Amino acid sequence: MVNRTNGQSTHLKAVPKGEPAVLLTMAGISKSYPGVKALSDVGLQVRAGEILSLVGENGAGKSTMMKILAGAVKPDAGTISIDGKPVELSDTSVAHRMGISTIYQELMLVPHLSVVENLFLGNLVRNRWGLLDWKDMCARAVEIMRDLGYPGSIDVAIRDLSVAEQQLVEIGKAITRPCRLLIMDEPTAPLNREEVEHFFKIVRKLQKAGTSIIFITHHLNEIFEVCDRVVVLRDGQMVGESDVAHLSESQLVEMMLGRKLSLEKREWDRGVAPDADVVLEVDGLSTEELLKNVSFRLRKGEVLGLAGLMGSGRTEILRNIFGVDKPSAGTIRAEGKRAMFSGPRQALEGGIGLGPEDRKSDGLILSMPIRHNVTLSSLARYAGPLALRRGREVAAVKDLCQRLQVKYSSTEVPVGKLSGGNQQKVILARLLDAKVDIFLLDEPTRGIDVGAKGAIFDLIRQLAANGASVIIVSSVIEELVHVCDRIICLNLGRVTGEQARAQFDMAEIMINVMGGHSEAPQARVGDAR
Amino acid sequence: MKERLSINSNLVVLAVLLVVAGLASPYFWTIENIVNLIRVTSLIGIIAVGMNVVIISGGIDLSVGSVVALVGTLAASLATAGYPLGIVVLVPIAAALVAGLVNGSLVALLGFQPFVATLVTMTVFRGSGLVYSAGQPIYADYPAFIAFLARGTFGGVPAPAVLFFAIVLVTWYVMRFRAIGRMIYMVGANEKAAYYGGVSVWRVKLFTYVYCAALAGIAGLILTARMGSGEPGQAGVLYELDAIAAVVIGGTALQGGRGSVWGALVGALVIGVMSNLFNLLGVAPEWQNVSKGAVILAAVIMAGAGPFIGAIFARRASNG
Ligand SMILES: Nc1ncnc2c1ncn2[C@@H]1O[C@H](COP(=O)(O)OP(=O)(O)OP(=O)(O)O)[C@@H](O)[C@H]1O
Ligand SMILES: [Mg+2]
Repeated sequence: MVNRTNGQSTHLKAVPKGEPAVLLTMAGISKSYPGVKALSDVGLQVRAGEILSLVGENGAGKSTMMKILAGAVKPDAGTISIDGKPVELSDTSVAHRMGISTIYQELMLVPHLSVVENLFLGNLVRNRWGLLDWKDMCARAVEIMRDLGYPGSIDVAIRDLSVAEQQLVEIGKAITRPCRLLIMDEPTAPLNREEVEHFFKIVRKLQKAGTSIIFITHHLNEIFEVCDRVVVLRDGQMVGESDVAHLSESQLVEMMLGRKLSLEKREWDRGVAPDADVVLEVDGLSTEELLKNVSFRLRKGEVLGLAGLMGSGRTEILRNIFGVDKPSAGTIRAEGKRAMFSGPRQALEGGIGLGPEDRKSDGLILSMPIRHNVTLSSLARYAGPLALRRGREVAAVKDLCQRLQVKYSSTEVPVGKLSGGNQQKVILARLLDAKVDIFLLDEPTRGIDVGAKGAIFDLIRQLAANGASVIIVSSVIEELVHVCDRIICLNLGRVTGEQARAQFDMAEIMINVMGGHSEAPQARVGDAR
Repeated sequence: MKERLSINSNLVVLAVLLVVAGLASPYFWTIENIVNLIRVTSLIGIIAVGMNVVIISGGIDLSVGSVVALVGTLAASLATAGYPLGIVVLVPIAAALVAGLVNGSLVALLGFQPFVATLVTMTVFRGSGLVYSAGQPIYADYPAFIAFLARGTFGGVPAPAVLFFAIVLVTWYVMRFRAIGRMIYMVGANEKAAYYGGVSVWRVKLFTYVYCAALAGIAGLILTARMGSGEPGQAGVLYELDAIAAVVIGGTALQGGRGSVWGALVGALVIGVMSNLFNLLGVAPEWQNVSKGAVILAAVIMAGAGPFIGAIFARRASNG
């Protein structure tokens, strides 16, 4: 294991005999944004046919590094060479021609176009008359998508696919052109365990075919499952690289954070008395499309988890409570009073806040400063007689960002300029600032690094200890088991099981999530994702 | 930072235009002409400031010219009928507010596209003025106060210009320091996220249309005072285009969420100087429109294209 902390990573040693050939070398890469040094003097080698993982905390510079390789961002300094020859990746099309394909952190598909149209967008096949050759493209699309194990039709619009299927289309799109290096920035973040398994099968298949892969993830177990080598970034510097085989999880975490993090699961004081006041009562909640007669209660100081696959209705339940969707039947009561909110504003006034799943479209106003985004739901509190109290706002925002370990240079930076994980934290900051009593959190840890994840769980438990109640939706059942007092399992819009902390059983939860005992469970239960 | 940049490039456009105008016509830099220029610019400027607010919130208001005509017609007929000053001023302004409420309700409550809704009300408002006056202009002998609005001066500065500047200051204060201003920007930048964050989107939109119509109403009073008549068919025709052009030259993005009142001020000046210069040079009206279009295009490219191209790149490279 090489451990470099002093930034002398420019001069990578020549590869000794016996090791596979080097496909790509990045050396001395630096990139600054106003107020942030995103990368300083970073070097990186990718060997032919390897799966390399790039890890680091939120804002460490992973995505920036990959955008440089994709030709989407220009570095301030540094060189890149492919097969030993220096190249200038001045544009995304140049990178494509060099055989570099990138799947960005946010999916880039066009929602209303079909699978085949998306696959060949920007890489259209023409016949000898210069017309689009749809026959050829469709034939190739069918073949590519079949190889990827995509079950559906290639004529369906992207918006009608699940996120996992969309992810397959992204991969398909990347390999429609000759691809020597495939870059994937947090591709597994929105996937559940089965989907991840399938995804890994495809990744290994691509690797066998000789493609090199760079894979970014915050789920460390995934690194040990598929990757050959790992490169660690911290604060824009390369701090280490290692073969995965010679590495333990705790060593990896220490490299990432620069300090030890006890991987022991924390135990918190759990103060929910079984007879604590019921703060939220959902009774027979049904919607036209999905939910069927969902009922549950939430107590003061309780952390309740909703476990389920994509499309199980977990997000819909939160949306109905928050008032953005209207149920077709059923009642919701808060503090004993009817609480069928007509919209988010009413819900927030009633002390209920939602952190939505889709941070880009629903959660954040990307072009607006961090400050505006954090105080959006609590603006009335900052209104003075003449003007908004900016000083107070700044102080509150700084305080919250510190509590949530947001990496930012100024409260006035547009939120869209933060790294993905840090954007996620800004949504949480807003809910905290709104001082709601009931937190509805849809995938609150998506894209968040190991260190900050622990901090967020601590925060959730602390909120509960102070009398707030929390409902969490997560694709990662281990996280629910870790932090919740109670878990409700959902399948196709129905409640299929409920467990209190004392009876938590991963196997049982998985079975219920898959539809209960009646159907033979396919789920492989075991090691944590 | 981006905002300030685009304002600067507008200022460059304005400066170039002023120099060119001075070279092209020796009469341009005379006191008389400048006062006249400011007078004319104030009218479009007041409307552009309101339009700017609507456009920042992600909407558009095509009915401003018709509101100008309707307000003028009402004021003229009330003055002719001998009503007291208060009525002559307040009733037309109230009508403008109602017009704004209608626009706002169509967009914010009934969910019509702003373009479609205000295209419809543009014809309806002008039509109602024509119906009210049986299609005839109404000549009015206005009370002194209203006449002052158009022709008076404060220490040499034309009254409409003073009014215009006061409106710019108030709007700047509201957009920058009040919660409603903040919310207007938020709704324009991402309506859905603003809604999820608890902003009452319909109230915000309603506010912008009422604000815009109120300013169009004030402009309507100034215009009718200047002409000494209410012209239901002729007043305010194509004002919406001048106002939108001023806003766009000012660097406000038509897709909303970005822009400043100072940009609209500079944009209005650019439009005003251009019309003034064409008149001085005796350019025929049809050629005025053609060349105005060309200058607007040039200004938009200089002022707007930088941020626009930047936005495309930002989107492409965004990691969300
Ligand atoms: N366009 C930009 N403008 C300004 N700062 C930026 C921009 N893009 C990235 N940054 C900054 O550069 C740093 C690195 O960001 P990057 O997106 O590479 O992080 P990351 O390692 O991918 O994090 P995450 O795990 O949260 O996705 C962050 O501090 C971020 O705020
Ligand atoms: Mg990233």
